[in-house]
Amino acid sequence: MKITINNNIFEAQENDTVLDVARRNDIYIPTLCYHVKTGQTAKCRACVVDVEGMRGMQTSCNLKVRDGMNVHTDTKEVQEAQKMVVDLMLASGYHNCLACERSGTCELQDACYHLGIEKSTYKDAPTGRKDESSEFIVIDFDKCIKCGRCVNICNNRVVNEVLGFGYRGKETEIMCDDDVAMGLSTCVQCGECVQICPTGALTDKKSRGKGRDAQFEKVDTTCPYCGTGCQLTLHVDKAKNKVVRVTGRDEWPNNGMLCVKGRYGFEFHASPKRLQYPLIKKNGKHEQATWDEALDLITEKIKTTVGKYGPDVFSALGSGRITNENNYAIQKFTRAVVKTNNIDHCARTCHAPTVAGLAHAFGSGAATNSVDEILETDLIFVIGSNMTEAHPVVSYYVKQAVKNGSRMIVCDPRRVDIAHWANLYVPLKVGTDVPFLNGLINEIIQNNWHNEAFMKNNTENPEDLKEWIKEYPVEKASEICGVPVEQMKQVAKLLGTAEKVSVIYCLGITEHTTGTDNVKTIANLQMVLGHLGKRGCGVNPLRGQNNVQGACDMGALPNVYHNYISVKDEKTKEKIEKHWGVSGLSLKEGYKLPTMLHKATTGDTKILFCVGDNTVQTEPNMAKTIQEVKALEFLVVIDIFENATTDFADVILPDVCFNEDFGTYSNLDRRVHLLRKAVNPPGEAKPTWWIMNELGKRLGVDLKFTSAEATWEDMRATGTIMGGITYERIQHKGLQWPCPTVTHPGTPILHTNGKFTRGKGLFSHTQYRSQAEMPDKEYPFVLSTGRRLWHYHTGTQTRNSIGLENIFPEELLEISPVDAARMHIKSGDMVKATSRRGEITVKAWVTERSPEGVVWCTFHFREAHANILTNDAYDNVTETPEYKACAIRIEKVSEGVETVSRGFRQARP
Amino acid sequence: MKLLLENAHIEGIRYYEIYRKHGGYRAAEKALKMAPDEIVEEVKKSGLRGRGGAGFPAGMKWSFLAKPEGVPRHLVCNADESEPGTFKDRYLMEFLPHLLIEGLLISSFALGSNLTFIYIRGEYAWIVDVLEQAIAEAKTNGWLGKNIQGTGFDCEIHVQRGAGAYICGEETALLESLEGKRGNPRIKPPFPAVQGLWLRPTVVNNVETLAAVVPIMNIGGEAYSKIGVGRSTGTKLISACGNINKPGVYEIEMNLSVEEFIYSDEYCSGIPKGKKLKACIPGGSSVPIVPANLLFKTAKGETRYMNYESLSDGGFATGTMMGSGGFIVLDEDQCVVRHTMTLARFYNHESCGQCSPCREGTGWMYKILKNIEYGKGKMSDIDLLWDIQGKIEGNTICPLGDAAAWPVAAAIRHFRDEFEWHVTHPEEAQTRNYGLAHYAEPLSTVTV
Repeated sequence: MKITINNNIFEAQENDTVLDVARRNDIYIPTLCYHVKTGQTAKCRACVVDVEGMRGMQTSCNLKVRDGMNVHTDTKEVQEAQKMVVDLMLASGYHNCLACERSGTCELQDACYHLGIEKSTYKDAPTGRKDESSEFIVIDFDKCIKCGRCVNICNNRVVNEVLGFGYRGKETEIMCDDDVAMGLSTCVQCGECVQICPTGALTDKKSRGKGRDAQFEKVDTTCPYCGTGCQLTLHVDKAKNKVVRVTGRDEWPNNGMLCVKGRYGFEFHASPKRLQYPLIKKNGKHEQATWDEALDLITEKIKTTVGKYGPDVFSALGSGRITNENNYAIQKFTRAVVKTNNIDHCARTCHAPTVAGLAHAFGSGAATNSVDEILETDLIFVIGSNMTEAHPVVSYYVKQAVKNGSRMIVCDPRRVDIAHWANLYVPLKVGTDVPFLNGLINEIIQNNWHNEAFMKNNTENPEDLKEWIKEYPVEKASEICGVPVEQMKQVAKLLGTAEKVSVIYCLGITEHTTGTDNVKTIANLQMVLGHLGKRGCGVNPLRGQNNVQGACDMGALPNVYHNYISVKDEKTKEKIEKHWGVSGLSLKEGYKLPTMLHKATTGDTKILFCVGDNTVQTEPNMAKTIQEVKALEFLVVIDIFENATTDFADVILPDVCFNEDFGTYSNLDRRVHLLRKAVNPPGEAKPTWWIMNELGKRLGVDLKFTSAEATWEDMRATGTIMGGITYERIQHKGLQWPCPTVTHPGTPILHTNGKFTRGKGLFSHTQYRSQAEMPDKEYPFVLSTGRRLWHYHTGTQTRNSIGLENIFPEELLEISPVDAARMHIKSGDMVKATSRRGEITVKAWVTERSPEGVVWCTFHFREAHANILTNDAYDNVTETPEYKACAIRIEKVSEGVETVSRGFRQARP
Repeated sequence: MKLLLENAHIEGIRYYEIYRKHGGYRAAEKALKMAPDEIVEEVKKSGLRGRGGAGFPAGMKWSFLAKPEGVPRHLVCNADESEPGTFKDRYLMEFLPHLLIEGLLISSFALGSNLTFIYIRGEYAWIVDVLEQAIAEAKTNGWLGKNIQGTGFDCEIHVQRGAGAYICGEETALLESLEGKRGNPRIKPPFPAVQGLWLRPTVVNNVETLAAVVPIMNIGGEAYSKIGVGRSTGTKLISACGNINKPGVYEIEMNLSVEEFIYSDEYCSGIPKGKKLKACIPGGSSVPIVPANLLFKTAKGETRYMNYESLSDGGFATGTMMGSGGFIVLDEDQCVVRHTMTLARFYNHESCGQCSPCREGTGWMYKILKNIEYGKGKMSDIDLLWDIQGKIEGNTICPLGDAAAWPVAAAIRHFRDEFEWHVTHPEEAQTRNYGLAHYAEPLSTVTV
């Protein structure tokens, strides 16, 4: 027989009670008197339900089922009736769970939990005050014991400086800012207070009622957002195959701290929009296919096209967002099976100048020091980094260091939030980093603040530098970069006289046509000061994506194999051929990402493999990118969501995401972290290494990818700098490369004792070149782009997670109050931004963060996308686009409702 | 003998010219010619004890000041006089601002503080003007600022107003507040003498203590120590209030008997309308209340004097404390329960909320006392009250917990019958006071 409970039909047996059926199907009904051993008494009346056609409430424990019975357990009336019973029971005694042995197994507690009863209504009730105004955190003032942990952690550890104590004595309570609701405060919802709270006063809103701690399996893994590589614990509801809560793990690099994305942006993995089956484009529409169909089609295409035109018509893109293993798999497939070096990934659009610039100067294209050393430095020199939004956890350390007495200089055209904590904020003009830094170096040398011994002993060409740097007297530099001479001298003095200087930079340096020169100039500066190879010093680029370091390390680059072994070297080729069991690896450097795309229009690129890289949305000048993608003969996209690029794909293959397979990420301080499988992938989604292995098989090469670990081991066998890192060694704590042997402890600091990876440091002569597209009469504004705290990349992860979208639902164009007043624009008005390449209509946000003449927006939102406007001008060395500067024009389109700005320090209006 | 208030009656003494004419800044002249350590030595010799309440020897406090190389030191004058019943500092600052400035200058010189603060109770708004004018005058006349009197010593004094929190009279809470933070007391050690204002070595002294440095300089530490008795040297300001004929601020030598202080015409002039004395809180609201029968004579039957040792004779069982000198007299019409409730309400309101025993405990004490006072109490409440105060005392970061617990403890200790009467006669207690019913034959008949 069948009965319906809450509109779902269930099988039932003769003699079953409604309660039996409900319990079998995981429907909770509170029962306080009934027990299998003591039988049905129907005394407590807590198990009442509503049955259609029967008058009044029925006790489910003794109600026999009838065929076709229609039962409701979740209507408001039923819940109220159940609540009243439990509430009365609660009032009958002093039910305090604090030190009760039954807590966690108590059925009254369970009933209260499931019914949401927090206290008895029949007693002198506490205040009942709650703050539920914020998106992710609930404050229950009645449960607060005023221990001050949250206040301390908010002010001294994550240094967001929101929570504080207000009032006094018994009225003491925690409050946000000057006693405003959390949702209206400057709180960035990092959730650190929730993790530290000893009671139920601060809790995650998302996981409310989703089950309690003991029910979940805890899986330690690594955060899938920015490059910090935070260690997380996923609380997984195995039965539902879902992550319910995320907490930070007390391990470097984050020591338990997380940001809003890491802690609350996890639901994308269980989104119904996930790609679940291979899709093949037939008659302009994507249709579901089997893996065999899809893989056979790809094999066929590669065979015929490559056979006809040679391997170089094939190009592949790895990604900074997928694991090391998958990056290795795609590069090995490209090189060993197709036999071309046309492999690249999205570091091309962000930190390629870092890799090129630092490799040129030092011999290693990665951060020289570790995140934790920030706490030990004397002077933090931040240039071109909006770290409170793009790398929140790194910013916590920086702010901590400043609180503990380190000094900080922040240089950025925009008054980014980290400047609030800086001793000195230096606004320079967009794209003038080279003259600014050269001016500083000149001033340092003029005043003899440079480290003569270091320059003499540890660098190759100090005299050259001293000669050409004379071209940049600080007065001249000041004229170009717009920083007053006095301030430049002040910065130079601070830099020159500090004991330890750590330079931290990000995409404000690299995403220019002079990106590589900018990086080289920073390297020059630190070599002049001699702040390399020591704790608390160094050149520290903040890598943008979770595994952009790893994608480079794995050789998803056109010029190097994994571990940065050049493809042009004969000996290496032989060694790798031997290990891979193939022959005929290409000795020719492959195309870089922009070149691959440009060559599509001339027919030189015919097949593009695109893994986890939303190329259409991430490349500048979207109109042109679309043309190029359209010109391809065959586009394969492996991704977890449909996006702007999958629209053009001939075959779409569903990928697994960060918690559905094992793997490793390498973070911004070269630390290799382990990812663990926590849930099963949706549908037939498969990891990239499996896809590559299958394709390899079909094309006659055994790639030996049987698991993620096997893939890693295959890499490790020919790996040099990562040769000593095994899954076993990084179970609990990551290891920093270089780590050549299995007994090597890892390398937190590069270039120690003045010995650079390349031998001696190399100074590069850098020259000022203006941005590719200067503002003019027609296009008077400079548009700069970046990342917001609440979103990531093209929004596929953050916009498919619950809550982040509510906090920041649409793109805003940040414009300075001066410009806004002149153009009669207020926050909330719609404006049209037009460049020579396209136009978008977007809401304006008038904010002091933008200087006059500069506007800013991001590429998170497909609806108003910065890359429609950005300029496809590239760095001459690495082909990194100039996202940070293009010329646009702004016109007001319509009046909007003015959004109230609450002060300056905020990541949203 | 008057050392501090000697010239208080002179018209215009708050102005520099007149103050100077009456011997002002002579002590400073003398001190600036001495070595700083000699001044500290002189203060040590004088036996001067802190006048803020705790009675810690000032010279010793000064000698604890750490002097690490290259770290500035600070002197902070605690003028956050908020203890109910205490208003001596207000009187001193209002009428003799230059006395304080002179004392601060000498002390700053002795301690090497180039930046000295007066943290003043927010409600004393008009005194800020008085002080600031005095500071300006002192500056014009070369007693503050750069190179004072050609000695090469620089000193600036800043006046900072509090914002109405009693807790900021606690020295570490005061420092937190002065730094611009919430006035929560710090955990000690480290003491301010090692890590005080902005983590620099700091001395925090009461207004009266610092003013007393002037007469010490004038007459010499040795001579100062001979005034008074035993370890209670010098003169003390007492602010008398309550049921007395002449409330006000009196400067006494500390060999004066309590009885004389209350009944002599020179001081309080007895109790109005010839009423009888019931009890007294001799050192500000925090100190234990003493019933009349233990006030004039100690438990041993000796005369009780107005000094540190004599007032605390017998410990808390039968004695009390000198405290800050806020002398509150209660006559036969006063209700001890109501009075205790008022104090409990005050401490509940003023607890910073940092330590749970104080935050929650003061609230409960007030709640229970309110019940008893308003006829809703139970006999067990008195024991509960006793229990709570015992659990607060000594269990908090700063002494506010103690200060809240002691009045309650003493009231129950000496007046338990009155509490019990409130419980047993809930209705009667609303209409009349218990009065002196518990005294067999208590009161002094002395007239001076």
